[in-house]
Amino acid sequence: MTRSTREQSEQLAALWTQAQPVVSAYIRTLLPDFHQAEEVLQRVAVVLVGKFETYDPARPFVPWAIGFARFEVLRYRRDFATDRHQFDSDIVEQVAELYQSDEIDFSEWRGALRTCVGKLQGRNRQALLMRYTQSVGPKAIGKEMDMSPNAVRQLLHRVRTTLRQCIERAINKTGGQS
Amino acid sequence: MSEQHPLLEAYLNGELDDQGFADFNDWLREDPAHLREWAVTSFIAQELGEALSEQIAGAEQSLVIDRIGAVERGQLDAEVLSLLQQIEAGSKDAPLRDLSPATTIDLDGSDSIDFGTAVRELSWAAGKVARHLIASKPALLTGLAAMLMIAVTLVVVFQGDGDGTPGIVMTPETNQTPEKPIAPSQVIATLTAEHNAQWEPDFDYGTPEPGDVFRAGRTVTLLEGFAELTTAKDAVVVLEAPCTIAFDDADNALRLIAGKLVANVPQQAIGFSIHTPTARVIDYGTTFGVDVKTDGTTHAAVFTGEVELRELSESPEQPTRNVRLTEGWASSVSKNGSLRREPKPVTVQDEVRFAKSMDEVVGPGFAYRRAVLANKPLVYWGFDEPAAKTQNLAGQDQWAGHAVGQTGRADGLFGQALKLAGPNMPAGGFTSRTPLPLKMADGYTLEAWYRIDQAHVGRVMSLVNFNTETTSKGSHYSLLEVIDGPELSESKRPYESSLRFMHRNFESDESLWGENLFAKSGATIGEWIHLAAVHEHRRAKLYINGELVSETSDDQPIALDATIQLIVGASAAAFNLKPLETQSNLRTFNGLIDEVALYDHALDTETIQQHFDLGRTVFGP
Repeated sequence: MTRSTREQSEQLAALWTQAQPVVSAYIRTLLPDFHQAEEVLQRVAVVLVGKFETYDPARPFVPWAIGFARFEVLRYRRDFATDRHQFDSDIVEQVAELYQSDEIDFSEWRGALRTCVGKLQGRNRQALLMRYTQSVGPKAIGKEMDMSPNAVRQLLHRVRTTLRQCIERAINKTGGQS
Repeated sequence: MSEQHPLLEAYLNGELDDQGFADFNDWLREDPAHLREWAVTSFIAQELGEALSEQIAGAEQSLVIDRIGAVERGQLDAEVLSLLQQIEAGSKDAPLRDLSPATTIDLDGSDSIDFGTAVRELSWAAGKVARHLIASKPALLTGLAAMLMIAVTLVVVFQGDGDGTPGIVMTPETNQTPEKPIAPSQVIATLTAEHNAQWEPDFDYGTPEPGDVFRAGRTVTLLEGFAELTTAKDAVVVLEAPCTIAFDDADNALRLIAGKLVANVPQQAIGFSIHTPTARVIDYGTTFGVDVKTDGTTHAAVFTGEVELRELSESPEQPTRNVRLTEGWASSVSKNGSLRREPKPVTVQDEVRFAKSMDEVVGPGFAYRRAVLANKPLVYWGFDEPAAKTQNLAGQDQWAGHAVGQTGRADGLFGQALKLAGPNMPAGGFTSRTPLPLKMADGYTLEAWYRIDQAHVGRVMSLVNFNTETTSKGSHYSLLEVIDGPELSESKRPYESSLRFMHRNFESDESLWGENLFAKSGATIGEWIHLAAVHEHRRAKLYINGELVSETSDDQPIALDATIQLIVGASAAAFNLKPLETQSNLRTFNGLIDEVALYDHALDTETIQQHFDLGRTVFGP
């Protein structure tokens, strides 16, 4: 490996470590299936290695990476995806634009969310675990937790809303923009 | 609670059918705000899953390693092993529903977990465990790899459309707090108003909003701002952040865990009590304030009526002491639970410490005064009392303001203001009388609002050292005066129609006249003007209406430690304490002066701008 190549690899590794959660979030917004999203993320990583020579370090990395992620999402959907619920291409594009803009600092949201999740306890945490780590729907959650599906929907809504407020508050407190 | 579109809500809950999904796509196209909302909520949902998984993986990694050890030792239940083999063999539809609910993995005969939990733990921690094994037990890796793969494969089966998945038993976390009661309980109070309120996130009940009721069993924390609660018997309680309050299943009582409140108790709620960690405050028809300080001390002050302040006994047998506090009296129970023997009169600190009503909170002046006090002035005079004296709102009674000569009162910025009718006789003003220690090396700030009623030469305020022996240099360390009017001397003509800020150093021969700053905008007639004069790090700065209008460097060393008096409304001569200046040099102000503050440190630009913004709301934009 030449010195310059090694330097490039190190630079890419550092940039990718920071960008990967945001790129992953973009992909998973459009491909909610965890494994499909993981596969596309891997493809994006491979593409970025190949294209890294064309990256201009003066420009932000995340929007550049999202550009390739958008292409890979579209390609994966076309070639492999089996989900019956596929977002239309124009929506894939619009979400990419949102992620590429500086309108929302997803990295900042990510940090704030970790703090707020720490405050979750008991029944709320249990319901969220089932919904977001097991993809279990309100009916099944209700069955397990001895609640009606409607009560589960209300619980999920309340917790999501409170979490959102907690995140926005944390961001505002540190002077960030939401 | 904020509303979300039903389609977005259904999407987030995984409940959209084909038509719903098509409608959802259309809804996203309708408005960029919809797309943004979806992207943000979707991001939160994904991150939530990851964050929760990471928490569990981190907390249970060691446990999982133990359990993998159990697997390795052949302690898996035969039924589970058989199922794992089916899945490994490729029959992905291996029916989890065929697992009997009692299927467990037996761990050394001392512990057992249900199958679903075991699989989740295995999969969540699989990556970490693999890394751990690579580092510590490479020989085990081969044998375990298949098991870890199986675990991950199982999770695939668990995922998909959850509604169709048979029961997944979630074992409660071991460190989980007991669940809060779900059944409706007694309504203790209603949130009837709030002002700039920020609440601690409450995942059980949602963020409180006006109109919400608080039932027994709930605890809320107000992080910022003010909130008004009304109890079932119409006692009105004003909370000020930071404050934590609990609603117990007790009639006519609230539990104040930390922070401040003021209770206004009507006749029908007599007996209303506030429980704190060390005391009870029991009302007898009154308005009183309770402050539970960070060290646990409970302080109670009575503004009207009467209360009983009682120590909280640790055992029913132990006798407790109590004291009746009447209007204008205060006392406290220490963090150790002992009652102060002698009540003390309610101080000006108590008066400004407690927000007595929401009307007061939202009224003019409240936010301004809190902002001033937050910066810890030495002196803060509001001129709202009888003309001969004004309290030091900053707390130190010895630095109250005392009138000298002819002074009056008129409607001011907030409440009353000092009215002076200079520049000629009758002279008058206010002095701190007792000298203030001012460490000049740390800088200082003089702040006030004033309104000039006619063009004249008049002193707004000064810092004076009446004890200086350096007679040739006068006695003012610092002065702020209006220079205007038809009879200005030639030397002052260049500064006509301006406000002058002078800082003078007595210890240096080079600073006879000090450093002078002038601001034309400070001499406007008939308008309220905010001024802040700052000296720090050998720089003098003059702010008018929140803007830095003039500054200069001061190369001379400044006095390190001075004892000065604050005087308002005239020169030192008017106070008849220093014979140096003649009676013709009284320089009594003509107009109104209000909200005078002296700080023993420099305020920054942002703070000064904030003070101006808070004050200007009173007289419009």
